[in-house]
Amino acid sequence: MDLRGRSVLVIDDDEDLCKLLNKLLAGSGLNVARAATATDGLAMLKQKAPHIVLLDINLGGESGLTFLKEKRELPNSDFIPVVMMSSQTDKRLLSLSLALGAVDFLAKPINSQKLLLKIKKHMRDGPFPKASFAEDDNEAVADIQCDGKISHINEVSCLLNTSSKIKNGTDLKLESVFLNEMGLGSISNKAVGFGLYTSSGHFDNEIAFVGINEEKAKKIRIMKTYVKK
Amino acid sequence: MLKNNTNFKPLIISLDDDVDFNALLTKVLTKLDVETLTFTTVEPFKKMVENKKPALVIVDLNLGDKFGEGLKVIADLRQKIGDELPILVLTKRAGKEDVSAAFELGASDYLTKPLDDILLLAKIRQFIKISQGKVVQAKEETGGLSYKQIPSHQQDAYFHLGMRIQEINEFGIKITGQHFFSRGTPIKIKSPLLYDLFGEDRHYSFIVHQNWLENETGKAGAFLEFDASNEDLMAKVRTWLLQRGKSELVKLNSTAPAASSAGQTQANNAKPVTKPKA
Repeated sequence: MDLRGRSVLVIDDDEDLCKLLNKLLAGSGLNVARAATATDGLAMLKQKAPHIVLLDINLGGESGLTFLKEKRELPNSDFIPVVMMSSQTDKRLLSLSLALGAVDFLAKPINSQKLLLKIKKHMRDGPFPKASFAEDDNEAVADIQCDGKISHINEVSCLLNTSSKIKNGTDLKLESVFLNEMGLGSISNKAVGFGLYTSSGHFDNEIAFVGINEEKAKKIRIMKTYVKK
Repeated sequence: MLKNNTNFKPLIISLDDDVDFNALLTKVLTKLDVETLTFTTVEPFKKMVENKKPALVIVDLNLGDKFGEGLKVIADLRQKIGDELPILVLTKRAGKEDVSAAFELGASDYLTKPLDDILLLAKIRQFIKISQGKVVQAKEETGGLSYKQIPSHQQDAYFHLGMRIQEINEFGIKITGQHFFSRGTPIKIKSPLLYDLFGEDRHYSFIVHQNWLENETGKAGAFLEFDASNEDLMAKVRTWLLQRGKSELVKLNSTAPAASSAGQTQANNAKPVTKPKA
């Protein structure tokens, strides 16, 4: 599993250990964020939404358990697994932290290979959520703006070369300095026929001028540059 | 419209490794007044196409045990013969990726096996017709109006198309709709969802990283990837995903492994190219 681009939050008050972990984790391509207290850790969790948290059970005056309790209150925080780190082998503390939602446990001193293995394992187990949207969800409408080139024109339509194949019958509005100069800026357009492949992923789409009048058509007719397609 | 009194017959050359299929195709094509040549291997096929200048070619994507060999043939033909020759793809491979790859490499149209003879004949008629003993591409027929070329410095244009956001995951945005976008297309996208996610009601720039096209329904889609090297942006996306619709997300999680691993594959193949200009 590729860890590059994934992020990890280390919550530990031991400066030296954090430096060491940072070196190890960043060396594997992970983005590392660090906090020394449970309060800072929660703030970081909200801000960064990391893929995994490494949490020390003893944080100076505070206990890592405080962090676990508070984390449970956050929406969907189950998606972020927490691995406990501790030099104590207190079984009561360990089972308590597991009950509060931690997924795994690492004994200090940290074995780097084991650490990376556990990170990989839990990142795979807990896939990050995705948001899906229904067909009729108004929020999910998307307006796509695309560039193209109008290569040819006649009195009823023009050829738009672009890297999309526009669906036959689509109403759209071409914006172009050239069309404005030709007095066609106010005319709406419709894709007709099927985009024909030209080269390297580009298509010639025939775009009709909807309701063009004789005066405007004449302008196109008498247009000077005359190269037949 | 293809039947004509002159002796001229347009030539259709087909490439398919299945001999029985070639026989069937030849039989179907007798309904049109055309001459048909079929080939089972690539080299003689290519030579014949280059020499005889057919009116249309039909290509299968899988040739022998070489999957997707047909795609190479399409690309080669486009390079050597040019853009005029209609290339019809006729294949068992109906996957969306195959369809879109074939189109991107220059296929003119796509039909899937089993052979639907009526549809095939209609498609062929769409591409060729006979005019005074010569084959002309049907597309050239624009009611007698010829096109005038626009000077290249005046060709720039832009336009808007409607699509829908189907999914946002930590790797990017999946959009679907009726329009097909080639890979690598720079697009700008504006949506209430992106307003909510990035905080500004404007168009955000992306590059189409992956695309697909369903041949049957004509439904197309594209995947726009987030810039994974921008950790601030990625943190914003993850935070938003966690915040958004609690119950909806929890429900998704129970079915998530398969779906999200698909997302991961997409991202793992990815080069980071996209950047919402924040």
